[in-house]
Amino acid sequence: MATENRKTKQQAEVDSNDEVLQWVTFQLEEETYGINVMQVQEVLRYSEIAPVPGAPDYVLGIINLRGNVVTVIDTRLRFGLPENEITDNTRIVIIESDKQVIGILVDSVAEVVYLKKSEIDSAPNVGTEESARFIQGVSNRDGELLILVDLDKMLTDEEWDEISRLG
Amino acid sequence: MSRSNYQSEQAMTEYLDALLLEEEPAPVDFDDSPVRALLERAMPKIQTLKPEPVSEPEPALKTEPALTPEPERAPEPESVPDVPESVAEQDFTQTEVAKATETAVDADMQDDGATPPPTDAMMEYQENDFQALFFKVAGLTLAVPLKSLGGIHTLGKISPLFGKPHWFKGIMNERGNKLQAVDTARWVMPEKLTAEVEDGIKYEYMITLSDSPWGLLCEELVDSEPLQPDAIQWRNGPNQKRPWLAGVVRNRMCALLDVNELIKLLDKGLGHTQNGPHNESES
Repeated sequence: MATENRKTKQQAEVDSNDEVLQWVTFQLEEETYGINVMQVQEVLRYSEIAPVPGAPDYVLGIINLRGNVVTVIDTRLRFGLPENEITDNTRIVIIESDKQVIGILVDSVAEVVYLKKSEIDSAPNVGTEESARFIQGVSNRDGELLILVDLDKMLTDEEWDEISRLG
Repeated sequence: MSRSNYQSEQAMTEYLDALLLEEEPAPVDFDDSPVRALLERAMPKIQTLKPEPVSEPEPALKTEPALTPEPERAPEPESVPDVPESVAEQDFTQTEVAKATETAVDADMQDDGATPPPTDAMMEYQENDFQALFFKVAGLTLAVPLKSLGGIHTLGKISPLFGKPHWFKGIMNERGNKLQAVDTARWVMPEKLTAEVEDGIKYEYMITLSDSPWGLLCEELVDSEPLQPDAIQWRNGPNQKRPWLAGVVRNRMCALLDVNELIKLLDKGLGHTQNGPHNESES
């Protein structure tokens, strides 16, 4: 009996340590990615993005968000994916990292999912490509793989500085 | 006959000549239950895939001398070039294996006897009969000991991850397990892969390696066959260039994989050669 109680207690401790996080999921090239919901400010329908002459290639341009200039990142380019046409489902996700507010262009936004920390695995540690560092982890969701992205690492410190100068 | 083919045959002939001088090994007893279990798991897939097997079905693994593989165990030197038909049609397969063979032989020749022992699993295979699974990728036949297999899976959706090496195809979700798919052709012979060859590759199965999450993609499961240690030209020394190559199955002229070494390389994100240019990441 005492052993059972101890086990139940241990299980409860494990459960309480197993934090649940919410992730906004979006799609790019038939894959589903997730970003921490706390970083998402809003999701916009696609609107004209004004190109910025001389901007780095990963910058699509800027948009006017209620009087504020927001730089939009070419997510496909960053993720090493081919270009795609803009569709009715295309969205600009406005995110707030600890550096600043930016927009990322995605094929579509799907839903908000709840994931326990224990449901998240680290990504295979192969590859030295820069872009590999912003995969925070992977998780199984309804038989599909959800790739969790660390937005703060999507750009280097120098790139964040560069973007801040564009705004 | 190409020069490399000639050289490999010459090397093989010399090797076989040397083998002929050795005493016949006595049949060995071993516990084949794990092999049987794996074989039972693998065979239904193979039988489903291959209604007309390339070779006659082998009886359950025994230790009797009668089990000696069909082709001659100690063939005449001139019979060496007589590669089985299924393999003979693959020129580039032979070339690849010939190169691998040359490398193995080179390594042996460079080896002055001060070589570390082979890995534990390989040592076991070098001492006892074992069952091997043969599979094909882009016309190349590879063999892997059944005991070192984790499983065989029908290919499902593979989710690519950015920033990974070219040979890392992505992650396949298999009953909640995240299997890491290796594009075998790109890993084993990136230098042979023309755009045309690559377009023609249709992967259908994933062969997982031991208890690791790594899985080799393959186009076709050929069959499984009991092998005797002397049916293989073993890598005797440390093959610095291709540590994943355990040896060459002589009667099929195909590479036998050293699964443990292969897993080590994959874990490190390394390509098929340790001095080649193929470890680069996706750009």
